[in-house]
Amino acid sequence: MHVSTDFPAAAKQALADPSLQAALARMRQGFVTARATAVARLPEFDRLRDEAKVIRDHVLAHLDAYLETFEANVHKAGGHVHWCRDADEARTTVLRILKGAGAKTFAKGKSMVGEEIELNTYLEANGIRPIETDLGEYIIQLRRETPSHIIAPATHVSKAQVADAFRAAHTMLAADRPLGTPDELLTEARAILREEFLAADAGMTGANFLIAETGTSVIVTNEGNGDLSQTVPKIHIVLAGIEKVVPTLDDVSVLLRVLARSATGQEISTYTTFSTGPKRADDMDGPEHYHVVLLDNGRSALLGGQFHDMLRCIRCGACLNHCPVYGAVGGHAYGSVYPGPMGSVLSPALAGIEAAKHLPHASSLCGACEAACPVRIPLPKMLRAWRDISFDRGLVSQRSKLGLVLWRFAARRPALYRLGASLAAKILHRPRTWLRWVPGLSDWLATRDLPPTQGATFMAQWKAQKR
Amino acid sequence: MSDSRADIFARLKSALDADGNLTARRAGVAARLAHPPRTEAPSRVRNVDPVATFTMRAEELGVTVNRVADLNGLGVAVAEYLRAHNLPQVIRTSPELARKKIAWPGALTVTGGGTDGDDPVGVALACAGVAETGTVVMASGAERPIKLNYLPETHIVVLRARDIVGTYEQGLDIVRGTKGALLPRTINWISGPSRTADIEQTILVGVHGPKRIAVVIVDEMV
Repeated sequence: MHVSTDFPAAAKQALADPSLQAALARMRQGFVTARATAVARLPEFDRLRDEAKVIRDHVLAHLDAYLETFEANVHKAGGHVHWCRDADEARTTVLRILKGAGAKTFAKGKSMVGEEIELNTYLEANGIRPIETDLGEYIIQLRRETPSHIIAPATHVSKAQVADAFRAAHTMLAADRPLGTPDELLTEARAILREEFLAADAGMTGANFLIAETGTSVIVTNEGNGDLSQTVPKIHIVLAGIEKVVPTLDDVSVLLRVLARSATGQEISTYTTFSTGPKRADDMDGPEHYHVVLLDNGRSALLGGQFHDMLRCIRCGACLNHCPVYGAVGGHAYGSVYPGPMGSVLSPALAGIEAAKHLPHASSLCGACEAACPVRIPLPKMLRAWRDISFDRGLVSQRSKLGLVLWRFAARRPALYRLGASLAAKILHRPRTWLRWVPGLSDWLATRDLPPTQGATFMAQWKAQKR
Repeated sequence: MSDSRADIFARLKSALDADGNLTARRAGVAARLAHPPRTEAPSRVRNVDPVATFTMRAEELGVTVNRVADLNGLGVAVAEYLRAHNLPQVIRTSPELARKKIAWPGALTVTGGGTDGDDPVGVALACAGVAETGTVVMASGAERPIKLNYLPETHIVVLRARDIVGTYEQGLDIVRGTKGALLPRTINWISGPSRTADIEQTILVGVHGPKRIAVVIVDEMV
């Protein structure tokens, strides 16, 4: 996986982008409020989160045995399973299936694994035309961008920018047609993509879940694009990470109760689709071939280690929606297709900490991500673990290192620490005004306000009150 | 490729064997699949009339819900709905519904079969309705074209009152039949019309699938 990150520089740029800031304000408001409302309407929500966590933990503890079962049941239903160690194997596998069928056009439902392996670029270079059919993915495909959010890929794009992209791409339509409203944009996209669905040679979806018991892949969408992508063309390719498996239909029901509520704040997404093998002999429609392409790409290396819990992730995006850092800078600043807290844990694991060294630091460790996570992944703890690793490997700046060494020196000497703290508390005491300038912290404070201290340390006040 | 498979399983095994062995893991999987735990139904569907709860939740999603006594009432309700929404009195029904003795009003043009996208209105029979979120459950089959649920701009779902259950699990029980049997190729849970919020978080209805959905609940389907 490719990570191109100079997070500090990209974040600075994002903060100064008024169009992006407007988009982020809309997103923060929309998703967070909707989730809170959905949670309030389901008194069992927290119990279901616990159950969801237990299901995912159970699967991970038996992952090889569940994958064997899933594979056997896909075969029983007449489908094929392809195992891919890395991104390159997954790309060549998809290409081989497409070439084998003589396919030239490829209708794609939304897939983060597809983004992870940069599938479109590869297919284009090999004579296949991939067509993203999720509206957000279609918009960023036209703009030749990566997604800025794992469930709302074009959340950074304004409707004027969508109109520009449509005018540039749909040159067969009248140049002076009105495209000022979201409705006009939608009508145009619906018409264009409908033709693409009906003509596509092959289709692809991701998978929100793979069901071991029945050999089934499950997708969750709102638009219906994933359904058309897998129902109209002759071939249905499912692209998924090996961690996506769950035991049974009943388990999926539990996970679905927390997924949409955590993601968009809907009680359930519009379409939840269960696909098992190819069409049956007497079925009226559906694909003739069903292929599941399973990707490892670094996931097995997380199993049983300190980032094991990350494999529980069901990709709802709640940690992005609730993260103050994501909310301030958006997804592209992270330089990875997986942004926000889950991305800052996952990207170093998949691409190497050297490539993603800034990401574990792109967090205030406030804990909002863990509080919102439907499968209770301890994201702040794992971000700290990555910070430890990057410190040990000498990947932090000289200044940060010096600061940490000084702090450690003081922290190991309580008397000295207390003296320093009480001096700082006195110096930084200024009633009711925020501090904008402190020696040595001027660039930190350029974008942050430091609240003034109370004048005495907590320890000093505690002693005084006990008396 | 078989090398890739072997490699991946070897990696998984070495990570998991610290805590047991593959034989024990296989036994764990077999035991859980033999007796899958089922969670308690959400309180919103306990001790309630499933039809009333289904109706309320489906309406929240923007679905028009009607209830009729029998197949005569069904024909009238469909024609009425089309008139009320200024839609043509032309419908494509799934072959499964076309076989039923439905008294369609004379003004309605009814054709049974699948669709390739030229039909303005599709009418199909659901396998189940799930009260907890007002979701209908459709499945593919010899007389059940999946494209009919997606390509027409208007989707009318016929749902037997006795097939309305409380939870997703109960809805799936109806579709799967006997345990161990192959599932239908496609099972669709549909909860309201096709929608998106991909343009500036504005909720827009009718992206790729239907712009409007109506459910007609039929009490006696003989």
